Amino acid sequence: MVSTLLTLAVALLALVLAYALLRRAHTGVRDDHDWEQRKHAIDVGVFRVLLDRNEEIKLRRFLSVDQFAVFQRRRIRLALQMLRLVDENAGMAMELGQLAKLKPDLALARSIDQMIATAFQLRLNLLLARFCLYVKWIFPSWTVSLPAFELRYQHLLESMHAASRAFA
Amino acid sequence: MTFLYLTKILWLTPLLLQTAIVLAMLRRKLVTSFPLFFVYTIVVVCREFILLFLPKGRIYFLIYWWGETLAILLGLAVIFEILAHILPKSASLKFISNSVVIFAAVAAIAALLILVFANPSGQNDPLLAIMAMGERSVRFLQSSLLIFVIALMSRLGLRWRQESVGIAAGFGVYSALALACFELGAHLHVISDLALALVNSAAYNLAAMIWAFFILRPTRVTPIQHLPKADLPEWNSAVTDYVHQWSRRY
Repeated sequence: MVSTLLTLAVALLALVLAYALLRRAHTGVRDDHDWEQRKHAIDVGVFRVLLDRNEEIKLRRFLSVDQFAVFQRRRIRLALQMLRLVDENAGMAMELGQLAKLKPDLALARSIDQMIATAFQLRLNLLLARFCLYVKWIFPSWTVSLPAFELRYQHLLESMHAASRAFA
Repeated sequence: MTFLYLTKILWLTPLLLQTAIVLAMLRRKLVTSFPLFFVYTIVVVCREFILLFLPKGRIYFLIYWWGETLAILLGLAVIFEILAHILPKSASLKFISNSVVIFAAVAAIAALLILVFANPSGQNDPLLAIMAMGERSVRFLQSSLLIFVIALMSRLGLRWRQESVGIAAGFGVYSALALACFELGAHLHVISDLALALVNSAAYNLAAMIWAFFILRPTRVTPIQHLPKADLPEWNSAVTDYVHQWSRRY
């Protein structure tokens, strides 16, 4: 029974994802002009200030607990909106990069790969950052640190690569 | 009579589409980009052509099952080919391919467990029962891998211009429907063997149509003058710094 449910769930999920991939297929940026029109102008400096820990400490010092929670949530909402726009920008940049890759130019292909890799890493980090911000929105005064799982995973992979190089 | 025509149509349509795909891949020099998908298509087309003119018997049975096994293995290999094709060549993203290998290993173990603990009831021929369960397990593995790859493609911003999207979507649709069919038909016996064969065949037709749509349609390369400036490294650094504010090393 468990295996049946698992199998049907996997089949359904694969079908939904494949359908979603095909459905989204006709949207997206088509050229430079499209990109210039659709990109979002957002300032990374503003984002840094919004989530700056020293700023948060200052606010905590000068505001009451309730005021701080309200103000902090407003800052987080703004940061989340910025992240959504950054995500869209990164997505469009990747699409444009994929389009540019269709041209047979090796030098361009290398820089496109680099750009796509950065954009992809950014989009993965955005998932994590969003999660952190949602937690922070629920508990605005939370100062507890979380274990650095992704650092540990990165170190584990690096040590695995080092070991495989040593064996080779 | 209608049923006979239907099965013939469902059999011949993908055969014609895949022959056209082979020719289009050769003409558009896509063989170097997707060599395994090309081999997969050739294998399937050759097998179907041979079976079309062969009377049913021992040789038919052998060609069918050996061809099916080869097609399934090549289908699995194509997923890794798509992955290698879509991932940007960057050392910093090496962890993604490592994660896929780990995920594939987990999915393979799950598929093996399904195979081992499944009860192949309802089949008179034990060999056929084992083959059906084996195919169900491999379809499970294929669907699990495709879930991962398609989710990755969505994050990578791949759109309709890429053939890899079509190949992955085609395999996704077919393996998902085939898996559901095997579960409902060969395992639970909710649907009849006839319905199972028809739905499975229709699903393959759908996959062949998706592949044909993405490979046969003419490509129009949009001239991109320069790479977009989106301050991605600055944003990546800002977001990473924020995430690292939260973490402490253990």
